[in-house]
Amino acid sequence: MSLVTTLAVRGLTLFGVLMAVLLLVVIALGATGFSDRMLHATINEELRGLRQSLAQTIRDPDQLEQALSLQREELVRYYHLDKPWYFRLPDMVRRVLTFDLGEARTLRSFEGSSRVSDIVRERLLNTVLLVTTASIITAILGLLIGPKLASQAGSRLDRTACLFLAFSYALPAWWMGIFLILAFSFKFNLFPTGGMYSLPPPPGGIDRLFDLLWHAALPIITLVLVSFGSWTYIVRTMVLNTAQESFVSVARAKGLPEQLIRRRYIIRVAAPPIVTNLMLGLAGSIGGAILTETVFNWPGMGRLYYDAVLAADESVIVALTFIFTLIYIIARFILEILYVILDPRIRYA
Amino acid sequence: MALLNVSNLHLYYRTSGGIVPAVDGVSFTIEEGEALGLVGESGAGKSSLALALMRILPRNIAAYDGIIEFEGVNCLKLNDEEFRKRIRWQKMAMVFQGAMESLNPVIRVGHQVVEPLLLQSGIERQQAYAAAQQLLDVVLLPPEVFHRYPHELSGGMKQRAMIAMALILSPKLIILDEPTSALDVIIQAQVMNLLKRLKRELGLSILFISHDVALASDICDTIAVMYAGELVEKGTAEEVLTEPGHPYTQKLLASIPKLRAEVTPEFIPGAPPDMTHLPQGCRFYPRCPRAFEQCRREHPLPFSLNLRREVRCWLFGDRK
Amino acid sequence: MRPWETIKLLLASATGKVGIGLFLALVIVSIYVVISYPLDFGTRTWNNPAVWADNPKNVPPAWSNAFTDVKRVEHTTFRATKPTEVIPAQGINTWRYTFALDYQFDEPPTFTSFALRNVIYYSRPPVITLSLSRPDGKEMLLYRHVVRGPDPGESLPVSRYVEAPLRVYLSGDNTVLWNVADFVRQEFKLDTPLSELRGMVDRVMFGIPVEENGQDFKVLNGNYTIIATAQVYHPEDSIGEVSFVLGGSVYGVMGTDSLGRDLATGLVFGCPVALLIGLVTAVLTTTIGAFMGILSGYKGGRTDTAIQRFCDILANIPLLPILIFLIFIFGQKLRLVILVLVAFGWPGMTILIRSMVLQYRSSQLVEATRALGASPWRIMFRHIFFQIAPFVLAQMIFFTPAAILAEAGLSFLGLGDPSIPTWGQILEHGFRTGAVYAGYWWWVLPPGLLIVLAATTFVLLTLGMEPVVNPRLRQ
Repeated sequence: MSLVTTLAVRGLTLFGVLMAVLLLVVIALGATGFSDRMLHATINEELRGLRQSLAQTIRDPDQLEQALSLQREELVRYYHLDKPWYFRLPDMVRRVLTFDLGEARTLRSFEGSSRVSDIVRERLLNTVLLVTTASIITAILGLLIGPKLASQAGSRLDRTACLFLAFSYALPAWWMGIFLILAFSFKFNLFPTGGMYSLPPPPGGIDRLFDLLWHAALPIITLVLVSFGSWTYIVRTMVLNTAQESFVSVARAKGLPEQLIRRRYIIRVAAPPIVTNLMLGLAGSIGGAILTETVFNWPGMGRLYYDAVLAADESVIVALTFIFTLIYIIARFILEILYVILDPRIRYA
Repeated sequence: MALLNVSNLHLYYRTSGGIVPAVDGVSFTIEEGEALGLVGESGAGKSSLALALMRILPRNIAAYDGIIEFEGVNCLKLNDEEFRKRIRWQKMAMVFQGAMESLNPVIRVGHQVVEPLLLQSGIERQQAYAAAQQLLDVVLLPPEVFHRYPHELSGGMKQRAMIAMALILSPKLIILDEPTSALDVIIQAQVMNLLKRLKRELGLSILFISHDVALASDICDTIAVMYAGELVEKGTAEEVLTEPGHPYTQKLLASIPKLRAEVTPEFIPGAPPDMTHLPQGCRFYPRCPRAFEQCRREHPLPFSLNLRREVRCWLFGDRK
Repeated sequence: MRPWETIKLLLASATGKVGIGLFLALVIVSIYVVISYPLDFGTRTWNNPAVWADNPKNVPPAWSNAFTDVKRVEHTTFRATKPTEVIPAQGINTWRYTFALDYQFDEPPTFTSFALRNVIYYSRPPVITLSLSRPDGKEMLLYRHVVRGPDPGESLPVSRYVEAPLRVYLSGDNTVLWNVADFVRQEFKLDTPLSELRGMVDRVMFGIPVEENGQDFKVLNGNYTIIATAQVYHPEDSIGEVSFVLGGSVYGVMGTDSLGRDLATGLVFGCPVALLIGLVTAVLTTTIGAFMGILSGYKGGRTDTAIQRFCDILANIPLLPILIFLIFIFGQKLRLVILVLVAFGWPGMTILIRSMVLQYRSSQLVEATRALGASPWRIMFRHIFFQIAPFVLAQMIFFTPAAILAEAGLSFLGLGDPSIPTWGQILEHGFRTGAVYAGYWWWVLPPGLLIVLAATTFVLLTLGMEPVVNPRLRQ
């Protein structure tokens, strides 16, 4: 069926994106000598540990050095450092694709593990929690307010609202966060200034939940305030455009009740372009998450990225770049499926 | 009693240039089983008249009054909700200009046809679907069209689907606004034949709006000519076509190319008047070859030539 | 549409008027900066601690004084190139520099410092002392210093403190601390330990002990005189400049940051930078995108498919993580940021423009032009482009704030170009040093407000362009 082919093509393109990003990352690392440095650093770490253990048994310093340099040669060969960087390409690609993400240099997970996959896995949920809640709230607000504005397009209310919405597009999320912290945490002492739980976190069920919500309030408000503007404007504009189409007049002529028209003829038809715009805004929300988590010290993947950049921890940065792209692609693909379901016209493109 | 009696209907729009009297004191009647053709240039107000009848009003109306009596019921006295429930689509239905954009692109054709029927109480889904299916048959569409989406149909098929959609509640009157202007000649003939059959078999009354006088003459019993928001001539098709009274009608007919005559078609010089700045006298005065002084000064009244015949022109000023 | 008509239409709506007004304001400020600031402002001035050494740190703007009950200390710098008095004695001249200060503030200064510039001596190095005469009649010896004697191999006359002045932070200097402790013991009969006095030097200088506990000092208002004396041993000796800085608790138009930098200068400098980033990125992206879009839409066929697939892939790459990664690898350079923004931005534009071109390709105008024998390039660029030009312009304006915000976001994460201060960087510095949690609103709010202002300008312009692009909306 053409439905399947359309989706297959989209899926393939998105996979192409993933590969492109991966190649970009890997080539950038290789061509600039970064990956060489990373591997040399790893080798040095190993050798240092080895030196300590060998020094127990081998007393003669010359013999010690000899043994170590032999080891070094072996390690260099093992990591293919003796060959130019593009030999290591397929290996790196394969490892990333199988989620063998390696070890972090300085960062550690909450439990103390240095494996990147552990670190990331801990934080994934926190980010998802924040971003999903904010997205749902934004979506609902937009879908409620957008059509209302559209039905009164051109009125004072509409024009002032649009001004506010435009203003919200110009607002950087992270600065909004700082502003909110200054206002509500600092001045008015309503909300905590950051983190996910109080220190120490309250022990059980309800208390813990409330503590979490109290901490999550400001970051979620920040995220919502920032994406709410453009989203509502888009819903309003798409609904407005659709409401002016002929078939809406025809539906009215058919004697259909206004409620039904709004649902089936306006919103339902405006849904595909709205979804398209959702897709376009998706990339922005990743950036927004990174910055907001940084401002509020929320222990999610965004904050991890910031910490990794500060600490120049290469393996984490590479792994996270890849994972962000992956998440983005999965989300995109879900939206694509949604779009195809909503719009029968493109199934036969 | 006439099926539809329209008397002194006004529909004015408010635009940035001023008030546009799109329908300015229009009166006519349609009997049961009668097909009335409404002809005129673009912008004459024909579509506005149709919208006024169906009470599909834009946001910027300045005036909407007069009498629209359908089977004795004065429609303008009903509020919006009553009109929607009792008259719209049930008694009067409309096939819009431009079938391309008139169907909801994300809902299957059959579901759109059956929609108004499903909203009626006392009818089961199966029955309704069957009725819709049957209508598709009547308009000569293959049964699988029911499950198709609009973009999968050709222009002619969409037009026929629109006709089926208009007939779903078995209205007494359907209004067709330029039903064939976007279609090629062959499909056009099919659609016209269909309409003639429906008129014959179902006793359907038709208001046929078109700029194509020849086309209207094919199906219509009576013809009304509209110019600048007014009806300038009314009468049986035969009379109007063979002995047009109003100079505009004469010009209109003269502009139709004839297959076997040696005459070159004429055109009407000038342009329709600016609706926001209408002259005080006859609106056709600037372009009329037979105008005289009274035409410039006084607005002509409709003069009856016989029972069914009216011409709004000072040339007939001696009749009453 | 002619350019003049476009501007007229923009001015017709309120949003358009405000947008153009703001835009002009930004341009005027930028021109001012380009004229009056050096090009290497970043490295030479902003990141140069010597420039800001005399400023108070972390203080709010001077005008905030009007909103507080406490009379805050005005930052004052006293300078003298010639002594007020010369007291001769045999072979030794004592040069006395006096600075009078009427201290009417409600709090002690944030710091005090003393500086000496350009000393040249011909025999023995001069001896410098600094003391403070207080309104309660007491005199405080603060500091005593002998200019460094000649180094081995150095011949007379010797010059000192030419490239860098001798700057003494009285508030933190140990010698001063000893002297202050002595003063407190002698004049107030208090035996306060040194550890207690360590942060309180300025409080003691300008205050008297509170009756009850004697450990705390309250401000003493009145006339103070700062007296610096130099014992000079040769008639040809010279001292270029003696200065005394009273560290204010407010400063300047926008206050200072933790390094004492006058935030106003930094913020103003950020204006043309932001404009540059936004406009350059937008113009480049739009130009490339429009060109590719027209090419793709008009040519059709395999060119079209190839370009479309390529754009699809590029447009789908999430920007910020990649941007961060590339900056991390290739270094923090503004040019790189612009390059990456353009490289990942043009595909989005291409997709939009292409869909517009497709509409026009089958239009009658194009068909007629083709029939007249025009070449494809001519059609593409003279006819189609003119049709879609307003839309392209609107898109360009719309894209500008995205670029400004992207750079600000990057700077905020600490990845900005350190040689070119931007609003985002100022914010980042504040965030990193905890200005947010310390409540330094003057540091943290203005850069963000300016970013928002600049972005809003372009958003308003885009809104004002709506009637140009969507003729249905014209009055």
